[in-house]
Amino acid sequence: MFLTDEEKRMHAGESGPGAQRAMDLLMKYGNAFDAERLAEVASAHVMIEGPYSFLRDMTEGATARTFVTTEAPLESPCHLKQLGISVDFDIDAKVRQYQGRVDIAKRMGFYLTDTCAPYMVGSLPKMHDTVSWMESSAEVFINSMLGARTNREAMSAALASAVTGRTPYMGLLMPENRYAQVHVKLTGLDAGALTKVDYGTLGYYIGGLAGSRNVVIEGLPKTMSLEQCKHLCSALPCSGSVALCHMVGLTPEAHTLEQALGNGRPEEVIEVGTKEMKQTWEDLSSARGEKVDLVTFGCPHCSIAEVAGIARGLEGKRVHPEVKLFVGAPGQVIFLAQRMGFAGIIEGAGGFLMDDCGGPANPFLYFGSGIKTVATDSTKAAAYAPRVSEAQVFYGDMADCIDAALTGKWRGEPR
Amino acid sequence: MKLQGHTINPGESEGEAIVYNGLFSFLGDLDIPTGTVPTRGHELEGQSLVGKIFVFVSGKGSTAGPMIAYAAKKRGNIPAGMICVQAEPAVALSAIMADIPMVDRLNVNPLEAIKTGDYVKLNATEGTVEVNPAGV
Repeated sequence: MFLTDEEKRMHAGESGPGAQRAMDLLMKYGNAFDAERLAEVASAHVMIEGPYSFLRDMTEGATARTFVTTEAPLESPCHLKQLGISVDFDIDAKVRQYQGRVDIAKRMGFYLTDTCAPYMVGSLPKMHDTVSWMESSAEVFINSMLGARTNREAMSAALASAVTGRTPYMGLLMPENRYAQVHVKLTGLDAGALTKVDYGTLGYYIGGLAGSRNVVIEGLPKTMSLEQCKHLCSALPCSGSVALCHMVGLTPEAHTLEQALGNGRPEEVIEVGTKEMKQTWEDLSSARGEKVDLVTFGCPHCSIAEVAGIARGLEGKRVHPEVKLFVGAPGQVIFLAQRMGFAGIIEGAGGFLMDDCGGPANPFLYFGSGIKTVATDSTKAAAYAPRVSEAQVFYGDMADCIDAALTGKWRGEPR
Repeated sequence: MKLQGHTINPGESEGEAIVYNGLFSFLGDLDIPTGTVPTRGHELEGQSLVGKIFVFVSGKGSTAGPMIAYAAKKRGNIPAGMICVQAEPAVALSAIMADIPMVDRLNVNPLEAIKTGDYVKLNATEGTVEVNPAGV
């Protein structure tokens, strides 16, 4: 692999042992996929959890060499007391351990955004920027909606990029690998009437058929909201490992279908209609009966508009005493929600608004607090909750989920 | 029989082969405290990968897989070596982070050339695989 003089110095250990280890990891990773060189990155998105010794060793003697944001914590013990979750370990000791990771991040110069949607709160790569991000939903969003370039990085590779400012030049960083192989047509669907949760359902269906291939969807309305785009992008890698989804007329590498396909022919054409949407909806709805234990929003993290919608639904009402209501959002969004009075409404109704994971690893599910059923408008949360916990899922629109939070019962109608 | 492949993570190891004709995810398919496959209904359910040469199609699933491999390595509960048809990033990084010698893209299909129980010598630095070598 070709290395620049600066990269050679990092590899030789002249920039400290952390940068040397990170270079070693990136070079092996690049060699495994025949990369000929490394590329400089405009940003990295990392997770500070995982094995502590890995974080410590990889950051030893190092500082961030690019703009770095952090992922929503999965195992953060910081809010357990506030949430009233009882666990069989010493929470204060765990919080002190967690603080050790936060201290490393601050010393490194990582921005503690603690979110799965950093593009909403200050890390917005521009078109053609090469970046190294973990978090599958964000990877699809920035590749597709923004035309930035990232591979589906594991936490380890993204951390190595944060330390070195480099990533192997391969895969989706190369323009010739960014064309769509799978062409999706909407047939018999009223695209203009699709709701946020419908977009998640659509993404989940497509991802299952596309696998790891690039996708182009034809027929989506130009009026798609940020939230609809976010939920479509986040669902695609739940059923497959899609990293790039062009949308004709909406995304920057798909002014036309021909551009998205690179003037070639797709390997596969998929048609999605009401039958496929209904079947996918049923596949994601695993809960039976009507009793709801947990309602979770914010997977990926809620935008301010989503938080506002939840607050409107709860205003002047109380969450049912046997239901937990959890809303996950980035810290900046929570700050704005406080300024707007939305946070007061949600918390006054008995709900929680926090920057912990709003999805399958939200603390009520992750720390095993006896939750049997969870209601959500997030396809990603619906897909993963039964895999990471014993909870089964009620899947529906935000209004259905708010109704469940207030009544303790699921009354959402299947599509 | 000697096969030639492509290095994912260098190193040398040898042991008994365990062959799985499918996609493998360290997150979900490997139990860190035991090194066995805990997945219900999995073809390898309950079997240990510890110290074996694991032969499979490719990786799949969560990009958290490499962290699981790293944690399992701390307890010694990982395969001695890995051979797959063609690696994807999650499984390649799993090998790199847990420092498991690994090759892919062999000159023959390893799922046909290697059977569970065969003795395999892997030189991932050179990219070579010897199946049931003489004198072992």
